[in-house]
Amino acid sequence: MKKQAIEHTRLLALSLLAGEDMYGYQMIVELARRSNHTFDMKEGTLYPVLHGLEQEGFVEAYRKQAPTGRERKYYHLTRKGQGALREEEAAWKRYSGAVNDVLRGGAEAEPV
Amino acid sequence: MTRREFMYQVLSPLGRLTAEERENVRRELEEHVEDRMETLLDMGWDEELAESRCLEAMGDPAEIGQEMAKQYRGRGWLWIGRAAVALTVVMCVQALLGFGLLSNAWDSLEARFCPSTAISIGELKNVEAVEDLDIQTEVGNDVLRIYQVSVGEKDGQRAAMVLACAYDRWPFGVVAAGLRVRSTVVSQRGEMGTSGGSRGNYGAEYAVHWAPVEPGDTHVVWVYHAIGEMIRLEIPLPGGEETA
Amino acid sequence: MKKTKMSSRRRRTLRRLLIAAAAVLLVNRIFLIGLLFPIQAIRHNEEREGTGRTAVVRRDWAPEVYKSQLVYLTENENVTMLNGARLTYLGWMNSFSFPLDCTEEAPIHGGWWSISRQGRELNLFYVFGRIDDPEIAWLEVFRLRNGDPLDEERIGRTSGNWGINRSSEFWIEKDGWSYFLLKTYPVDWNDYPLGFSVVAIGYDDAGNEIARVALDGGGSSSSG
Repeated sequence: MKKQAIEHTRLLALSLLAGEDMYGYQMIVELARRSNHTFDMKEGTLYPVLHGLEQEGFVEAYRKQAPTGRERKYYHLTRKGQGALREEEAAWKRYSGAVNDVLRGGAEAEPV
Repeated sequence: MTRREFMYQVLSPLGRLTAEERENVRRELEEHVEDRMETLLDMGWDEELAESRCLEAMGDPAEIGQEMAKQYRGRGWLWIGRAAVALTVVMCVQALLGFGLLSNAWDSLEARFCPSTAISIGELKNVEAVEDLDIQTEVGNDVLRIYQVSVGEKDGQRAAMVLACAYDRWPFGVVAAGLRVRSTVVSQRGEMGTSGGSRGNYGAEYAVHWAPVEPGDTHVVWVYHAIGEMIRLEIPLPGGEETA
Repeated sequence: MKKTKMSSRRRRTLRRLLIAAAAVLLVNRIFLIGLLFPIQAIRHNEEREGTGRTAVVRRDWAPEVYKSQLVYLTENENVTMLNGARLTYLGWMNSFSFPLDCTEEAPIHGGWWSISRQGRELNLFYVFGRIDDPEIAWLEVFRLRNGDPLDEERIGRTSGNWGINRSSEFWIEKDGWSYFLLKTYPVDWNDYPLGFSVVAIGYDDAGNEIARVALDGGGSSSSG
């Protein structure tokens, strides 16, 4: 996995959990729904990211019965995780803003 | 690739995780596959096909395993945790071995709430008066407490018997040893008394001292010798007013 | 709905540490055992002797008695104290304590203590104290056979130590005070059928005797 891909997955995972506690499969489904299938990532790669966030204390995990009736491992965003999310969001906005600026600049430079 | 093979490949780089952590990883991925398959089966997929489709969607198991292994780098925490468990076990064994030492703790509490009078049994004859007192003073970081004085007869002579105990300022703390030898009791007229029984442990010290008493005496004096200081406590005799 | 919490390594470790700390505190404070550090055994000595808190002047290791036998010289304004502590199956334990009352003025406050181990011939003989007379530049310690005052044995003669001076390792300066702690090897008690007394003699720079003090006999402690 590319380092950047991991960084993105981290940000996506944190922001998904900002709304509610979810389990892995639920996050994948939700991500596909929200992004209109743009993020069709390999599903298994979500888990190393989640476990990393758990070890760092950004998320906490617990097992609970899911609406399907089966027990699942839920993730919950901690205060520390909320802080990390805000920071990563800001960094992402700076980055994407800069990309946009470059793209727009390139378009203007093109001869009409 | 079957589910079994997939899981095996994911778990094989995770040798440094604890068995419990590995099991959690396996279980979580199994559950994911289970959820995904259910969706496909509901859509009428063939089971075998559904499984291979699901595993394909999961990605490369070796890569997942390697990434997962990277997340569990905190070996230090693991060892500190194990050391903490070992320490707890050692302390529990100590508590079992030292169960009898709870008598120190018990005595430390008893002396401050209801000091034992068992120490004086049978020594005083023709008891005229017994009075419970509570005279306390700090000596170092201990408390010296005079809790009973009686007047009667000892070896054919009229005498006052004084009971004292000492304990650390803090419950369960260690008290200075040798309350008896550190103390003397003198009569109102300065006559030296004698020492009686004593007992003590780390929790509390008890001592009995005697002083001769003559009609008209109103008090005796307990003298405590601490390093660098001497403490004198005047102990009123029961019925002292009347005799005077 | 029932939730089963799952913990990260860090969180679990912190929880285990907390439990361990509580167990240590309980066993240390209530059972008074399971001490993890020898200095805690010295704290027990201070409590038992009623000396108040003392500070360590020197720590000596006496593996001849027990592999873990430590001897501490400690002090405060009132006392100079020799302490023992060793590691047992109940943690660090105090093995002996001997405080010298230094509240009264004297050129030298000193004492001796012998430690031995049952079933072993060997015993150690410690001489220790505080030197209060600043004129004293040189100290000699003698063991006197009772009933024979002329027969003096200079302690340490056999190992070549003729005395303790400011540059010797047995002379310790701390916070403006001078202390001495001398460990010597065996006393053959058979040589002293009537017992003995120990005397310290202080000399000035010129070698004149300016103080002669009988040391407090602490006695001996032996452990099984």
